[in-house]
Amino acid sequence: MNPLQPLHFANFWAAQTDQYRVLGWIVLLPLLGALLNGLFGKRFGRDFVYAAGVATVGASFLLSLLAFAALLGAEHHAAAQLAGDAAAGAGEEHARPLVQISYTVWDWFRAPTGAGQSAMIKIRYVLDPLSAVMLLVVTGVGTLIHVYSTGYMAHDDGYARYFSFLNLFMFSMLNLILADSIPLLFVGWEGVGLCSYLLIGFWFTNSQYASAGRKAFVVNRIGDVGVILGMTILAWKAGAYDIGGLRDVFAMDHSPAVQSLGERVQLGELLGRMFSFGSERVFEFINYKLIPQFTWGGLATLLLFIGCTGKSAQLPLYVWLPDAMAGPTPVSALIHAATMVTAGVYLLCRLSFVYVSFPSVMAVIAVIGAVTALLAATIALAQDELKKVLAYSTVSQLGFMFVACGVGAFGAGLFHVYTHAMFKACLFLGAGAVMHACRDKQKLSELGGLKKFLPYTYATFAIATLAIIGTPGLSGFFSKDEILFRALVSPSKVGRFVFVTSLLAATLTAFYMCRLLFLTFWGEFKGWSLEPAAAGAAPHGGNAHGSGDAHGDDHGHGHGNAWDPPKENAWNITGVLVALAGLSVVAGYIGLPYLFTHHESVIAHWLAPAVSEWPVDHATLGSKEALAMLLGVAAFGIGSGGAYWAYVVRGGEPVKQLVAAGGMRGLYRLVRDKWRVDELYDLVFVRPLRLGSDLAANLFDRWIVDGIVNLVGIIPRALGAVLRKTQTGSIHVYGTAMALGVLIMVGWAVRGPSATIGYRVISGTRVALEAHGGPGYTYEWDLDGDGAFDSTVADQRQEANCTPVEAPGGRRVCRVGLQVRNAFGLSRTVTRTIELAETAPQAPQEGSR
Amino acid sequence: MVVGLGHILALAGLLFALGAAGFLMRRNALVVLMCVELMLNAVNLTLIGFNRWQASVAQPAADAAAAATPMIPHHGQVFAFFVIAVAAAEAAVGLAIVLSLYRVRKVLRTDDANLLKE
Repeated sequence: MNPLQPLHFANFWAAQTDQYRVLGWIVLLPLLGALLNGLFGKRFGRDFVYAAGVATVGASFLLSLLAFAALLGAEHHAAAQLAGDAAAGAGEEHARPLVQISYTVWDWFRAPTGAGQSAMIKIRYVLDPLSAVMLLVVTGVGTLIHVYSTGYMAHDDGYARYFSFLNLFMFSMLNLILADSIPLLFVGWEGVGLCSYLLIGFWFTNSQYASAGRKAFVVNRIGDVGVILGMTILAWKAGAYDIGGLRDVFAMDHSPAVQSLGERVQLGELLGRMFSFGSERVFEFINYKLIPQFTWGGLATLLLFIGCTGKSAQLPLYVWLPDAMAGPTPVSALIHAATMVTAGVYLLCRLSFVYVSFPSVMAVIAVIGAVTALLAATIALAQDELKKVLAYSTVSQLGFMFVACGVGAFGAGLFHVYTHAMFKACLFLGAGAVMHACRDKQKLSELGGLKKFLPYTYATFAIATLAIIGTPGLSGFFSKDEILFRALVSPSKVGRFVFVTSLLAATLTAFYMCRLLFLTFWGEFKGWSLEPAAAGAAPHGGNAHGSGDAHGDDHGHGHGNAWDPPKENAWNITGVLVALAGLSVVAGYIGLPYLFTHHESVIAHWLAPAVSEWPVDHATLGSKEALAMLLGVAAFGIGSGGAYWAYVVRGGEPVKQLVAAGGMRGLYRLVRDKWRVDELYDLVFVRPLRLGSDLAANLFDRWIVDGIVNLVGIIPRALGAVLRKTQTGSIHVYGTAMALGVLIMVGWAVRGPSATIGYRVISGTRVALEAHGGPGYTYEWDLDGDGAFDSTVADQRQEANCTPVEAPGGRRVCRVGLQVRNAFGLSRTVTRTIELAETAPQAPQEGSR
Repeated sequence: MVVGLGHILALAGLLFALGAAGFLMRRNALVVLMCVELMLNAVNLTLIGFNRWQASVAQPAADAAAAATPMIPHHGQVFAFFVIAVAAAEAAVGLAIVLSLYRVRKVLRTDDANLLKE
């Protein structure tokens, strides 16, 4: 290291990078909070739960900042060292090395990685530039949402359970983010899935909400199969479960592991081997040429991506996310908008160095992302519920992120994850604030004119809306335009297609988000006229706030006059909204486009060592970047302008006309019904499964399985019915049976012994003989076949030379005799003819056997 | 006439057959118990008989010191004591059962003592 390098404050923090204990605490603290709240929350009361829930996550956030500072220090250290090396004479420019800070907790288990090999999977947490971004987003937004929850759940009796689940979610999410290996990441992946399920069905007494949770769980399981299979194939072929190990393998030139990943999967061979019975191959008749050919790596990455479509709500597995809005709104903000659903994007970024080698899988990702973005945007156009619109908006934005990954711009995808976390959390929490203030109303047709009643909520919601629709200067603009640009210039075959599709989706995003804003906050306040005052706060529709009754009644504005206007919420709700709105404004400035600054953006530079990308030469593509930006701004302008014209200038008239016009009515209804995808899935998957289960339960189980079980029961019962007759209860019958038994046993012993001979020819005339044994038997052998028993050979086993005689047909045989005498002096005799080999007698070959 | 092992065994066999026949044929619980005692005593007789026989056929001691204090075998006799003790216990338990059976059913017929069948 260059001694002239000035001391940097961060050098201090970088003291120990291989066993940096703070990482362990970052993960552990939320678990502690979950345990405290889950076990003692009810006993210690609200204040304790709020304090424990917020403090553990908040502390985790502060420690994350500390760890981030340490990472900066380590980066600085490494950069200084590199500069020193370069100055020392190497002279050539090196890429910035990947700097990471890690903490190994313990060795977990050893798992096979190919034939005869295995690798230790560790509980090890790693902070690198990629996980640092996610860590700060998750703990930061998580802390804010915990604070918000103290306001939002103030009137719910399940507060302890809620905070316990929320903390457990943070624990799982941090495991997912900081995991060093895919198996540990998968633990976090499943953990967040579990917490998502628990929190969607938080108000489980409402069966609709409970089944929404179940749907999320089941749909995610489909994806998880893909993760397990993909992970296993990758480990089997590349020989590593941990991401560092995989990265090393892929960094090597001509690595045999990477070459084996490039081999084609002989799907026919594989299936044949899996389903072969002896030499019969069950699937021999299938023409495997018709099945698309995969390489092992392509199969693994595609399977992992299927997992991502489950977790991150992409086609075809997105259907659970809109239903997931059944949970409390802060949960929707934290889990189903800002953090968990971006796990799929994060996984792709983690494994970007794998994905960049498989362009066809990348193309699949890009197309699925783009189509999902467009499809979800169209659905969002016609939804009538606040949170439903936001849910489809989330699906759509996640589609953008996958577009970025699919065109090889993983960094841009993660940048969008980061900005999206800010403004979408703000939007969801704003929606929650509206529902909290308006007695859980969330139908757009019943809201309106809230601008003057909820000024803070309105302002923050508006800022977040402007951010998501890509208003120049706000965070969404920077991240979305980076994605559009990278799609336009990507070498991918599908680049143009996804660019156009994404642009269309961006236009629609601007339209439906402005519609949402206008219908909620502008126009006339409709009051409570749609709801009788006496009914108070009966929950609305499918996804209303489930704790409605307790909630609305206890609330200040729930009382009194039916015409009381809604009031602004408490500080812990509005404060969080303001913070997130502020972040939505400034968050984008770490990703300023190259077009403006003419150097790499901060975030791109920061992520460069951790994330592999398809290279882009910004300098020569300035015109394309300008074009993408221009079109992006046009999309924003057309979309928001259209919404302003349709909903503000014309007061919603054009939409009504459109719906009334004959031709469009069917299409409108189709869009409003979410393209009837749920119905399609119901028809194609759910119903056949139900039918199969029905058959299995009512035909197979009831008649065949139960039949076998009943048969097993009937046999002993029938036997018992017979044997029961013998149990007379009379002691004399038993005594007689006993006496008879004794007599039979004595008779058995007294009867003549059994006499049989077993033999084996050793060689020539040499034979081994053995008599059947019995208690108290004595044996007399006649080995020479003369008919006289030789009393000197009395052993049960004999080995002797017998006397051969000629038998008819030229065979040579021996005859041996045996007399067996038992303890009662009764005897029996037997003779046995032993076939000898047909050849002439040879010299005995002892020991040849 | 010398009373040998054969005589004793014949008597014991006779006694045992008598007891067994009585056990199987009589219905009075007290008589059944007495027949059991008869069988046990037949066994005792064989034990004593074999003990005596063993003592009579025992090999003379090899040396003078051992010959001075001849080892008289007594395993059979000791075993007979064990059998007597067990028989006493059996009689006590058996009579107690018979007594309580009588209190419950007012009979001593073993045919009536089949409650456990159901």
